Amino acid sequence: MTVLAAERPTLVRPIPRLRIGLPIAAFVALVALARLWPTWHALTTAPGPVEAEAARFLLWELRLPRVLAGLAAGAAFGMAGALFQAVTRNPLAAPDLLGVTAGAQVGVLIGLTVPALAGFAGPPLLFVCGLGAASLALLAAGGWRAPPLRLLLAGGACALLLSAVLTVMLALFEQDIAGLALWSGGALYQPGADGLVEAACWLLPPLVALPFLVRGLDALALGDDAATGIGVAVLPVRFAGVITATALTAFAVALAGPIGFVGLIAPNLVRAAGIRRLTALIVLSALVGGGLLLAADGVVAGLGFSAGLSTAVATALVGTPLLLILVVRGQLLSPPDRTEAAASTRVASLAVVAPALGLALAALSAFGLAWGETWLAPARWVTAFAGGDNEAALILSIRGPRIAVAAIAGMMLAASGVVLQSVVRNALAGPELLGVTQGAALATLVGLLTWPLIGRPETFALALVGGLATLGLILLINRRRRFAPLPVALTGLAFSGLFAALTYAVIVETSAQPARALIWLVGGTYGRAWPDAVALLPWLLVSLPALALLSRPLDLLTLGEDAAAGLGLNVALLRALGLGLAAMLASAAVAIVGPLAFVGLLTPHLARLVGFHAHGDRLPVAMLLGALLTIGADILGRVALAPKEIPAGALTALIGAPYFLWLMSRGRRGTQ
Amino acid sequence: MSGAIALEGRTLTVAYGGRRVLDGLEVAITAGGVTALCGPNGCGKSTLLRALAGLQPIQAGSVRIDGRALGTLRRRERARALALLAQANEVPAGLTVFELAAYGRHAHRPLIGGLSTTDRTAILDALSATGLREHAARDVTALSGGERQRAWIAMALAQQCRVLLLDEPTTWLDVRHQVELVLALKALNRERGITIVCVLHDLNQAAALADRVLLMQAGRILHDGPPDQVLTPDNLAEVYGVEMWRLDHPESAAPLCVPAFAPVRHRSHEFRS
Amino acid sequence: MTGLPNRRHCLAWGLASAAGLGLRAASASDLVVRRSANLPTAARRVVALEFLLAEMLVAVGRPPVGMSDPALYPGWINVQTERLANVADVGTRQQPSLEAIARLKPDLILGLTYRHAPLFDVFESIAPTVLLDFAPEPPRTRLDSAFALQRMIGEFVGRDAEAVRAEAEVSAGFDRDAARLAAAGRSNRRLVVLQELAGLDTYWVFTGDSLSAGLASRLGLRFWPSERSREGVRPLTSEELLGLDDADVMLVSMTGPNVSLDAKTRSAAWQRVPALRSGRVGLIERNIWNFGGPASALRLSNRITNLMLRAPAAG
Repeated sequence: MTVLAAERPTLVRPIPRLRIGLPIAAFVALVALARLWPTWHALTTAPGPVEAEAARFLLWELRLPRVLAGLAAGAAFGMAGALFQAVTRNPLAAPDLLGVTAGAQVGVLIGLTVPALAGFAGPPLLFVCGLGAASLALLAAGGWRAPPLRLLLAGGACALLLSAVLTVMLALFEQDIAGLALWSGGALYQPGADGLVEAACWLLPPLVALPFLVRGLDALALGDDAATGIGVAVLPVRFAGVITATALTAFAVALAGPIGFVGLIAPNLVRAAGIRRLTALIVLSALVGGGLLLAADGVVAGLGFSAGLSTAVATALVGTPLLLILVVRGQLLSPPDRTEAAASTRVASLAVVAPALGLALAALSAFGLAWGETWLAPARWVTAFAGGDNEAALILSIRGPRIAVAAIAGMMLAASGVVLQSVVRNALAGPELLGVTQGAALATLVGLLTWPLIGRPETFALALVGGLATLGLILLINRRRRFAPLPVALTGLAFSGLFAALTYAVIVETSAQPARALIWLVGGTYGRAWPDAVALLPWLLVSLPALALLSRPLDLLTLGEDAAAGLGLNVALLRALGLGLAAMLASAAVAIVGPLAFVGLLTPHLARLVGFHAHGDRLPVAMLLGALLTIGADILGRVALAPKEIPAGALTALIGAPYFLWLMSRGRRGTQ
Repeated sequence: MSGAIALEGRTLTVAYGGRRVLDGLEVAITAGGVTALCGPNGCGKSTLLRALAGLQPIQAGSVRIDGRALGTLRRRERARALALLAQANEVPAGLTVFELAAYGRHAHRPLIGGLSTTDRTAILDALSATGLREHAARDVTALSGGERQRAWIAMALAQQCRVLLLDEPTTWLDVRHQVELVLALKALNRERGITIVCVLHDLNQAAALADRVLLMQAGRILHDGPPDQVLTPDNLAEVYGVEMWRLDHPESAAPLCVPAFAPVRHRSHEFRS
Repeated sequence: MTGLPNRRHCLAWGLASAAGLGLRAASASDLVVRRSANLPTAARRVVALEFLLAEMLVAVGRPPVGMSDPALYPGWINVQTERLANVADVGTRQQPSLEAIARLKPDLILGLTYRHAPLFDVFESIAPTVLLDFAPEPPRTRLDSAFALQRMIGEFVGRDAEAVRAEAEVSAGFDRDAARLAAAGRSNRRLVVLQELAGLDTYWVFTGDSLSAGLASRLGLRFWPSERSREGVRPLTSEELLGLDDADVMLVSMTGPNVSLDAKTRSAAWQRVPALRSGRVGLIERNIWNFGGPASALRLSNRITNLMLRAPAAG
């Protein structure tokens, strides 16, 4: 192509690759030099042979490997992100979203806990685990033929499942895993060049495979049919793409920790600069990813933060503003609207399903009150209420509020998820994606760590402030673009990445034993009392009429923005209202149960998988399903390993994700 | 026109979730001809086209191209033999016309390496044939609907295949672009001998473009032959269930079909026999 | 809190700096952060929600009736484990089973502020509750906190005398170790205690307010680093050890005994660490004695002394 451009300059527009690539490369080189300069200077000005020898060691064995490790890991993340985005044709895809990072993290855990593998938590083990996660996602999505969106959804469910597994391990073996939490913040420290050279060998296979893949992957952008039509072997190409991207991710995770965020932002930054062709995208994403990680590591080292601790935070701090600027300047192109995840025939009408679910809810709640280490027959409830059975009264006062809190919070999170997915028009939306959950969680966590004796109203206020402030920022940034879905989603993702990293930093920096805060971070119903339920209920009640009012406009919005506007809808207002409502519901729930995973993201899809599409039907079904799921998680978490508690947040994913994956795999193929 | 069979479907059966869209359908496309597939919505035209292109999994039957079973062809061989232009195409943002057409060379290129001279000749040739030579450096998204459709055809042409399958290529175009496209397709057929199979809703376009019309209904081909023999009021009433007038084009004498705008007869008692 | 380096605060845009307002223990009596108004004069059925509380209860001769994760106690503390044979399991330390606690009908629940503060009301509905904290005020260390807590717990269960006696025993043990070190001419050497983590050559180093730091001064040793931190540890990489010429480094393992010290110190950086070159790096088996009570401290003292005596004499 470049040859052609030289021959016939009129035929091809000027190529922006070099124009953009050179400054980026120069910047990366500059950052690298700046990192190495002090040591180099020390080496050249060393007064004696002993000092020179020490400085030489510092330069060649510590500084340079660290810089190279940062570059290599960042580049691998960037390339993996570009590949995943090409394979799934979704600019929001990243290694995190296919469960690959979580899988690799499980790999580290296995390396730590299985004595035979101790010290072998290198790329091969991580690759196997990451690939396992990706295969699970693929299997559930219906194999290689799965359309990209289904793949992403299955990957999201898979990631949640694996992080739930991690959390359960954390809850049960907190002491063993404290070190893992520290590593999760990202660590680029290289104690010598040998280790890096060894690790670099694992980068070779995916790098060699890349050139053979690029053209086919590039053609995937035309759509599967068109790509097949021009002779691209779509399935093998996608297969090879996922394998290669997984290998890159495994390498990067082994080197730098799970900083998958780089894989999300680097390709998007490049794309925003006008680069579209995959070859250029991959090369530049590698440069930008490497530069980002290197700069972040430089910030960490330069400011003297705890070595290796906060690379993830710094990456988020460096990358988020960049992404936000691009959103504000409107340089992110919108991809075509995605069709819904999966269509299926409705199992029964709402008039049957809603009462049935309600009945199931009541039955499950009653069962939850009765079941536990001590079986409480309903007869004892009566005597307890009459004041005749102190033990039963005490146990009921432990179990009752948990169930109530679970039900209310489950409904709120599910409603929040339904509204968000419709407003953002991306099936991956959920309170988690918008950063609202993370914002609320960060504010609450800081409060809890600062004032250990903090009361309930303050917690509520903090969560609401955190969640709504996040939303306010998102709305402010996207106001001029009338809250268009993709920019909103990207802004939200940027914030969620930033806040998650900050939360992590706060935990690690304020506590040597991060496990205990991490358990709070998965969310749960443990130890919740009646005042919690009472505090939560009004938020749900207030939002019900609003949800009812919004459901028809939201139906119209699914027709597309233009069609909805043509039907007389104020789209911008609807989006602002919907986002506000969803953020309020999610923040209030987070204040009491913490950022409970899965419920907000996947119950809307569950409702759709059982056949409810219109919001008037989907909202109540999703809410009831959300309540059922959280109550089920609460009961199981309390009883399964009694007296050990499993955080409900881990169980919602452990119960919900496999069910969701199963529903996906047996449902018919989604419409593309 | 030679009598050789370019593309052939034998006892094609396609079902979606238990519903049979095509049921033991037999079709043979003559080489060097232009065949129009017409019929009411949901009659299986697009499915037939996709099945002929090998994009549609078929439950029974087989597709043969130039006498060879499509299934035995390697993917790249198939792409060099036939091209399909789908009804709606995603246009990736930021792609130039030249770059889009270059995708068509995929099946001709080795896995790594830039475009060869042959590739470039083929691409420029395809752009010339579709009148897009001077738009080569423009963004596909910046093109008009007609130009965009021609850009996709250019991509198919760059594949240098013998058979071109098109699914409603004129649907979103205004009259001028429709005419341009029909003329362009006719020219391609005449000058390059490319076999064209085209799903069309506009019967008059079918009559102007095709030398053969297949009239489909409910997964079967009911009528097959030259336009003036197939597009008769009786046949159209049978297939579409509406009354039509048949006129002759004042200049070319091609059949013109005009609805009578008489009350619609219900098909249900018409064909339940 | 003042000991926490300021630079860390800017990390969370001052959010974390708000953590500086957190409650700190001003003196030993302030180690109780929250307690029920009416406590039993001598509690007999105590539930301990942290290993070190169980360890202290055993030390004063009143083993708990219920504790968190008794199955993990032998692996992490393993002091007088035989006296905890009949203790009931009440779940994990972070989220103990309220029903399991209630079933034991305790007359005192002992927990830690940083874990259990949000649960105080719920605990109190079951039994009188005391939440403890062991972050010391300068210049005290966690060793001082451990002694203070153990005396306090002795009072709660009405065994003050036993607490004093246990403390005297531990102090005598420290003195014996100090004497052994002095006899071998190892006094005044610089002690560094590391906790192994999962990362490449990345560790926690115990800081000036840690139990190890307190131990060092009782053993007549100097301690590095002298700065204090919020929880008695801060992260460190092997690079920092390159500059320590005169240190004895104790590395607390996180793996089983099958992984040797050699395997843990293969990196190029470790190979240049002066302490390793002069054979002054000791490997201590996997445990959490640094976060334990006086009895744990004595174990740590014995282990450190033995390892230092095994190292070659100062050159």
